[in-house]
Amino acid sequence: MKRVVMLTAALLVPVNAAAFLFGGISDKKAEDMLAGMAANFENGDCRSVAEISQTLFREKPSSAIREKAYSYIGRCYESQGLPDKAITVYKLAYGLYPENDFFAARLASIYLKTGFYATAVPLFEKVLKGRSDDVEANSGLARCYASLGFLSKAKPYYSRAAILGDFGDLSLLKEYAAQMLRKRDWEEAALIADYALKLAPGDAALYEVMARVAAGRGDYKQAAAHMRAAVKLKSSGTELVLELALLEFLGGNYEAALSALPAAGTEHGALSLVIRGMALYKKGERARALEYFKEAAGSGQSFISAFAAALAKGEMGK
Amino acid sequence: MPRFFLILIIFLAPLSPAGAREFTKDDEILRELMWDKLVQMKQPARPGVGLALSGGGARGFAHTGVLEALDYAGFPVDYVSGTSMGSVIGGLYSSGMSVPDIWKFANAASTLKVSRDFKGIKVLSLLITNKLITPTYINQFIEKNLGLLTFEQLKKPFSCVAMDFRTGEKIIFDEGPLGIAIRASVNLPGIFAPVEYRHRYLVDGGVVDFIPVDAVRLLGADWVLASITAGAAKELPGNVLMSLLQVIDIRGSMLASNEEKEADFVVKPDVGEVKMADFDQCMEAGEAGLIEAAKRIDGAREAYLIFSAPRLLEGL
Repeated sequence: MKRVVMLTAALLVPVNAAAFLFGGISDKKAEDMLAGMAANFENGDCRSVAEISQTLFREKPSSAIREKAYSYIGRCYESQGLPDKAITVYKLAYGLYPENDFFAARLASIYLKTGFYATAVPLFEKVLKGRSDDVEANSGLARCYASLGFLSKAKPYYSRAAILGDFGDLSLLKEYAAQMLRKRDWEEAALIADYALKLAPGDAALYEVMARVAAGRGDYKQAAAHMRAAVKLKSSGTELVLELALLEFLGGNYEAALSALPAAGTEHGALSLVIRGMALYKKGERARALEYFKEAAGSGQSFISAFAAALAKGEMGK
Repeated sequence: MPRFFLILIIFLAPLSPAGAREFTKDDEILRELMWDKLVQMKQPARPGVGLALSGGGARGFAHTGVLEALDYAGFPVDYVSGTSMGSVIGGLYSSGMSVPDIWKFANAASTLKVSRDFKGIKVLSLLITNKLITPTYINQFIEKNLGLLTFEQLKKPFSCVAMDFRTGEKIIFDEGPLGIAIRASVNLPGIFAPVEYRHRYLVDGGVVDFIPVDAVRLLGADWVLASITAGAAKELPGNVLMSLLQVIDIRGSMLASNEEKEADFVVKPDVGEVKMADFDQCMEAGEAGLIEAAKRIDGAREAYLIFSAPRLLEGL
């Protein structure tokens, strides 16, 4: 009976007293060490964080202190570019403190960055269950779904992340628009590109998105107009010039396509050769077109060269 | 460059695998813009695309994910053929059912009780009664969703494959009532009683034609994308039924290795984790299909664009 009373008393005593009885560290000392870890983490001194943590854990601190210590250790590993070690710490901490969404969020974020999208999905979902307005978790889950190919599932999370960020994150909006292009959701892609243009009216890439939307809808006149705007904004962008030429060609403006291309003989790359060849072909200059197709076909192991080879083969087979 | 080598490149370049190429922004520009133009065209301005869907039991729901990836890409699908579970998914798709609605079947598969037709099989009772079973729930599902239709009423030309149990002949159905043809195509031999139709006794087409590439070409397809359920079973079969199913699957896979060479592009979702008779795992199979198809979709688009290039240029 005497032993039971003593054990009960031991379990009921305050933590620092328990530390005294069971050999653990006092809360005050542990909090001081934790503060030291925080200060060193803020200063980017992860070596000191590691040293303090070793001492701290030897002293058997309370659960709450350990929980905070894990977060500093994990973040240190992350900042040092050691995701595998960070994962080990966060997984351990997440197992011990499943209610702490910080560990789930950090794990999800690392898995996303390292390409383990399917592993990240349930962790982001867990975070969002507790905090549906978490912008990073919404955008993270959207990215995971988009990377796995689940574009319909990705869309509402991109949307929520954009709304929660008050349409102020340009890189998120550009990514969102690009994924909607991939989904051929022209309306949504155009809407998001519009929002992005309000933030960055001089961003040529956004006009390229608008051009892709118009081309997807079959409006090549509009697509070429957007692409001309993009070229104007980024005069050094050769790729944009070639895209403009291709849009002019697809819109049936063969002369405009040829004019947009770099001067004949100065082409750099197979794409300009293919566009020139296709425009000449449609103008009835088949022999010249064939020469360009052949040259593009021999330019390397790219999709363009294979496409040009198919065009050449088709023409030679006639 | 010597003329001979140039000509050699021209003839061999379209055959080189997509994975062997370097991809650049220029490739992306050509692919995306030519693709938009190509999918705006109607046949015969562009080559007809056929979709061949393999068998695979519950694993066959992987085709739903493949269909979703094709949908996102705006991939034109002009003709569809299916074997076994591929005939069910293909039949639903050809009837005009949307991909999200086909997903609903995968999601509700456990409540549709399809698994019960398999779980209810007791080998001992089969031996004692010496009678084959009628797959009640599978038949109910097919009749309810496709039984009132004929092939002629479908939105896309469709065919499905069964085998005549007496002669071993491959039978391709592409006209008449749809429900009974699909029932024949999914009818597991040795367990379920053969479907009697047009003076034939019909069983699962997977035994003779696991991927109906030839069947979809007969419908008129110029270019064929095959969706094939793949992946060795991760667990050893635990009973006689599962052993039989696995033997059929292995036999199907062996047939598939030859047949897939006839397709122009192959998507092979790894569904080794999904048991053939476990229809509660249909969602997992579908998701595996979507993940694999999403990875391969740019390669599929490029392959079809290369195949279509001369006709595409002509049609502009």
